[in-house]
Amino acid sequence: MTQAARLKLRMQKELKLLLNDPPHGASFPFLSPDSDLSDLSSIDAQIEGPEGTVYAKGVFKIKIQIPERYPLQPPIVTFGTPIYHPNIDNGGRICLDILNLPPKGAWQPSLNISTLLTSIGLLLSEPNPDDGLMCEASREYKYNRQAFDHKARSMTEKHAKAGAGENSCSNQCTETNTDSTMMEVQGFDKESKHGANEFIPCHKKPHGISQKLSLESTSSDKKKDSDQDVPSQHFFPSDSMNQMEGKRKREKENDVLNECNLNHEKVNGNGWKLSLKSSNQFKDDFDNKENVDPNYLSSLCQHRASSGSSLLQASRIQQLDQHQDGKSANSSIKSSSKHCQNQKQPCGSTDPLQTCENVKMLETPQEEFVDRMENVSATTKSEQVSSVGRKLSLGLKGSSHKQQESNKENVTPVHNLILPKPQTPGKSGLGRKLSLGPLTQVQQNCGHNQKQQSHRPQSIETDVEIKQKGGEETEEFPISEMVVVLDSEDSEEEGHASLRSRMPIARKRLGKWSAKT
Amino acid sequence: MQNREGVVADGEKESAVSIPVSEFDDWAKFADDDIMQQQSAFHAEEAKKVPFVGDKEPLTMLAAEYESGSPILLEKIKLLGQQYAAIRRTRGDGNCFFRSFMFSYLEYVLESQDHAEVDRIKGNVEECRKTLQSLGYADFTFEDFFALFLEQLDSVLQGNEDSISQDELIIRSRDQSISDYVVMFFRFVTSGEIRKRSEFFEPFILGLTNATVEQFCKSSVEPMGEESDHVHITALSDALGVPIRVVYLDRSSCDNGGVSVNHHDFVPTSGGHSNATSGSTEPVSPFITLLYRPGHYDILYPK
Repeated sequence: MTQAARLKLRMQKELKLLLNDPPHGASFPFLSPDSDLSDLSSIDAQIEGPEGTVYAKGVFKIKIQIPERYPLQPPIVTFGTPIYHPNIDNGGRICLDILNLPPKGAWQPSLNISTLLTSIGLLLSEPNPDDGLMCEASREYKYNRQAFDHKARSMTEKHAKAGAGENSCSNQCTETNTDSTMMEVQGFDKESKHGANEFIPCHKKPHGISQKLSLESTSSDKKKDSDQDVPSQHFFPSDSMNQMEGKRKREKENDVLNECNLNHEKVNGNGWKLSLKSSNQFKDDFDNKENVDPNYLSSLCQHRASSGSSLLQASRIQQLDQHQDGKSANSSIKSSSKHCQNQKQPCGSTDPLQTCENVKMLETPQEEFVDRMENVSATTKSEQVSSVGRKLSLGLKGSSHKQQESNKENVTPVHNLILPKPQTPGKSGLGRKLSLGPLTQVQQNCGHNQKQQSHRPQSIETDVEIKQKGGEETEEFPISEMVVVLDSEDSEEEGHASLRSRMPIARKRLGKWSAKT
Repeated sequence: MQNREGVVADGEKESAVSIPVSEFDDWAKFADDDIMQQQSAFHAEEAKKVPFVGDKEPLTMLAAEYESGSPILLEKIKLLGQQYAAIRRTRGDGNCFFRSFMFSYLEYVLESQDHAEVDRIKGNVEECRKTLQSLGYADFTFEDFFALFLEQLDSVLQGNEDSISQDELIIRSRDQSISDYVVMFFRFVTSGEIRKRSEFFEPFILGLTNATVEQFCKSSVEPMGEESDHVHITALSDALGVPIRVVYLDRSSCDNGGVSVNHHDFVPTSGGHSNATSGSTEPVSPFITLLYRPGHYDILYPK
């Protein structure tokens, strides 16, 4: 009896078992008892995401290739459906010990396809982040489950649900570059979206490249925009939409997920910017860790600055922002002390609403969200458009995780946080420098995550404080001044006695910082 | 970069953006695959040097190998030469014990045409089958291996139309698709025996690896290429009722300064199978003799 004949014999038995007694959650849409047994070098299976996991209700395609020397050699198993999992990479490759021969793996010929599928089902239920194939997913799984769950769910929603699954699968099966790269980008984007909490080592790698590319797409966005007679930064509002949606999503149902994802793809061109922002946020987190709330605010300011300055294009936009801000605030922001004062006006709780309005104008798909926002407010000026939206997005991003932790509707204070206005171009250089430091600190972030959580309540407190002080006054100004323009402290401090007590801390913090940079 | 962008699609910015990312990914993976490939290439090269089962060589070849080696070893090889005539090497791929046992056993049957032994071992094989079934193994996962071993057993008995010569036995033993299957059969049998008598084997296994019986079978018995130890030998010998002598060629020496080659006989303990033919009182003399050098087993031929 030849090897081939034995293999065929074995496969016949395997198929019989698979069809008569399929492993839990698995199905074989292309197999039937009459299947042509002569070509069983590959089996297509489907496996349902285990109930109660982030993959629940998803149906994942699995391709099982049978090697010539099976069962002495393990089958080659890959996911045909994109999945966000610590042990499954973008190409669908699975890191599972029984898929490899010893000594690296633990395949043994007494295993079979049925047990293999059972193991994969188990892997979905219980990822093994200690042996992660996807470093960032592993880290998230270990240190930031919320972000992980969210990403995994939206991936499932997008690719593994009935309908969606179909086409992503076929793409994947043919091993198209595009598919996996799309996943990559998406992940990338999402990362930046949730950037606040997470540690993304990979971020640095693709950074430079995606930057170039994003520039290009940004300009194309602009073209589109001009066609629509809309201010050129249309992606900013949509960006902020994502942010807000994301946040809201967490608070509410998951239905919005899809929408959000779609959105993200559209905004893709912004990947670079987003990621920059988020890396800045690492810094924020870092600061939070250090207990200094004002600093948090200040860092917000800074990264506003840095995100503006780091791109030529961005700085152009920034100028635009200022321009528009100027309009809305009725004064231009040249001196920083003034700048602070001015900020307060546009920054009140109406800002978010404006953004919403803007978003509505620009992005119809978000109706749901917009509706919601409209209920809250009616006062919006559409002239403002995207510049505010952009600021908002930053603020929301930074604060969203706070909310999510506290489950409080802190919206107003949060918006206050957003207020930091664009820096004058001259200062942006400084901001940029500062932002570079945190990038390297990112690593510490993950280690400190737990600490971070404990600090959150504190920052919320601050928010409340701000509110009490009468919404108009925004706490971040003293700090932003400190960071950027030290001479403007006085004017602010006069206004807030209680703030003063914070100042030294903030200052200290800043001192440390500048030493680092 | 530019070129690539051009290649990839005009419209899809998303894909363009991420190409470098995925490339990086692939690159990282490639390194891994590369290493694996290198490793298997290395194995392939090694395979050319030593077949699964080598040719019979006079023991002097072994002496030549250690010519400039330890005097203790040379002394021992000399002693070996008094009792043993030849050696047959097996490939050091982690399966050497099982492979040596396979060839040695089949060769014994081929030469002795011991039908009684064949019947006896077939009985044991059936027992092993039941053992595996009772342990929860799915039939189809092991029955092919069992069938192949029984097939070889039948074919070394002369008088059948598919009987084989010794040359054919050697060819088959060097044919991976047969040789590995038989090795795997032995691994199944060994694993089944260890699990069945886990209480007996547990202390030995703990002494070896600090693993549970279950883990040990999973990681050190069933997977191909996992080296064998005395636990494996004991289990296989017991399960099939085949005594095995292992001659140790290492640098140990006796207290009195004299050198002697020590050996250990693994004599089946379970059942009366092995004693049925030779009588319960007589000492069993193993017809399978393996030469152990640390990390490796070869076949020895007595004079």
